[in-house]
Amino acid sequence: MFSTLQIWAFRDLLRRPYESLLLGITLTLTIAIVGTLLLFPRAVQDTLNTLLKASPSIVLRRFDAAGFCPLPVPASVRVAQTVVGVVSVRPRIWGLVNGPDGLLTMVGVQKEGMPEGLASQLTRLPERGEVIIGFGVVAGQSAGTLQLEGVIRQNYQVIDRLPEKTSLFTHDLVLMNPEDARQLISLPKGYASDLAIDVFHEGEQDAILSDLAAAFSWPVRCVTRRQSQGISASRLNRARTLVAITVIPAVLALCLLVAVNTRKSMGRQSDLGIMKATGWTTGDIIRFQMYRELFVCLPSAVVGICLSFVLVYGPGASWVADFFFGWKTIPPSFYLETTGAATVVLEVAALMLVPVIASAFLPALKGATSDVHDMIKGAGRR
Amino acid sequence: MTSGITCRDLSVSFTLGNKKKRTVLDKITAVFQAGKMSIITGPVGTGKTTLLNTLAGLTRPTSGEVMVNDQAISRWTGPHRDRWRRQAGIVFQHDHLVHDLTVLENVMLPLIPLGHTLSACRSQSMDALERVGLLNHAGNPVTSLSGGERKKTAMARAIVNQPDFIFADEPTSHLDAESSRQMMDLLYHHACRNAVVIVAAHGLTLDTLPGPPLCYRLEHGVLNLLIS
Repeated sequence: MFSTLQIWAFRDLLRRPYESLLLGITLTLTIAIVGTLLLFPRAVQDTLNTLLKASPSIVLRRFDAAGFCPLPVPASVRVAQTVVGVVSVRPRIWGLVNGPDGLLTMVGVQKEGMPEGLASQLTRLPERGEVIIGFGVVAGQSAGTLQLEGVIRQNYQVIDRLPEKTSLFTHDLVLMNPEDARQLISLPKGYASDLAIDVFHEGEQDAILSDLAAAFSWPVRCVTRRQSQGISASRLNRARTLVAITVIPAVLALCLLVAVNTRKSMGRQSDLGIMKATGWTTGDIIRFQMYRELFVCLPSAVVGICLSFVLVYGPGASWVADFFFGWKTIPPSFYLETTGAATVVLEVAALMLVPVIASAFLPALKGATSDVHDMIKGAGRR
Repeated sequence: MTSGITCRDLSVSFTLGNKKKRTVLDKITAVFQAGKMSIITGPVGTGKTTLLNTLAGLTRPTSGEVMVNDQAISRWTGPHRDRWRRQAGIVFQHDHLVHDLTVLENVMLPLIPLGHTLSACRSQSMDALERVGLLNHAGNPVTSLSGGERKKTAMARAIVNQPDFIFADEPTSHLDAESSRQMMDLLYHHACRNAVVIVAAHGLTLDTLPGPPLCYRLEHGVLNLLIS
């Protein structure tokens, strides 16, 4: 299974077991830290993109001198549908209300117009007096009832929680019956908070904005999905800045590790000289050094990367979200996107493994250009 | 099968600290035959070690050639010479053992890159250790050995793969008379197997030799044949 050279390389590691173990642990932890730092913003980005794909192409709101105001449903839908490029129009009822731990986003939901992905994951829609809540609404409590305060104050029966995967967007969300929602925010019958508009083609989002605004006889403000993505991306900048700052010590630690490893290998030039004098070629020495490094680096890289995936995607890793976004509630669950994750694995591998393995190559390559006698002379001085 | 090592107009000179050149070997021409033990004697500092290192391909000559089977190995690139040394066993003046390894592992060293199984390398090395009388030290670290035992370990490492060329630099230093005779017997045995055996020694008495050698004397950079 293993060649003699591989066994010899492994035995070489075992000659300094504590040193090898320490190197392995240090490498594993450094890879885990750097992996987590690289993986987290990407996980947030991927999750945002995945969730935004399920959001409407354009959200249209009416406003007046006092700010946003309700829009009449039949007239608004009729006007929006006259605009070329619009495929469907859904009136939405939502608003901000006070919950037990602060402001919550309340949404009135009905079967028609509900995103398919979300509808399929709920056992049933809330009836009058019932709500479905996001994961962060009542953190740490087994919620039976929920008191909400808008224009009126009322208790609601909690019948379900929203899927954890969507918690990046829905952690403060309360879904309720549309009639209850109207009552809570005092929205008259026949009125909606905004319109969710889907267009025929992604590229038409920006193109029809002016037509939409012109079609209405009152002032409106439209936000496209692309603009929402931009807003979300700007929120990610905080995380990216923190990554840049926290990656520095990790990279410095890596440089130190590589420097120590290189110096250690360079210090064995005399041993390499003896090996060459006894018939080892430069190729044999490179293979020997590479096997020896791989026996430590490969398990360290695998464990380190797995650790970083667990920290970002696994349950109970709340400190990551708390550190980057200050989320004190139950942490969001992220979507694992294969392409993004593979990129991070490659980034970590390039950042960590290549320098460490290169440090093993340097002494052998130096030896390839040196006289064997000059290499050995170091041994006499020991 | 090798016919021997020939050196033609072999010169080695070093540049000293004051930029002066010191010629250690001066246009040496000699043939070291296979099947015979060649002994190079001479005063300390005359370049015996340099000659052995040059013949073994550990260092390059300033001019001239080292020929093996009509091939100028001194002109070969490093990787080719490294590969050629698989046929050679070298006993260094200062034994040059790998201090992290045990006695057995040091002897196994030349066998590892040859592709044998580990157990084959081990049994071959144990056999070599038995021949130098160090079998009971196999598992000991080399740092625990005496000077003579280290020399014997170096000898075991040199003969472990039955080489066609053996270069032994002061193989009997640190050894008592009995052990010296044993080492020379071993080298003579390999010479009888048609290997090229070249021994550099400054204080070797010929009565320790089991058979008639080719004796050279190296002085002032010139190699002269004393006994053939």
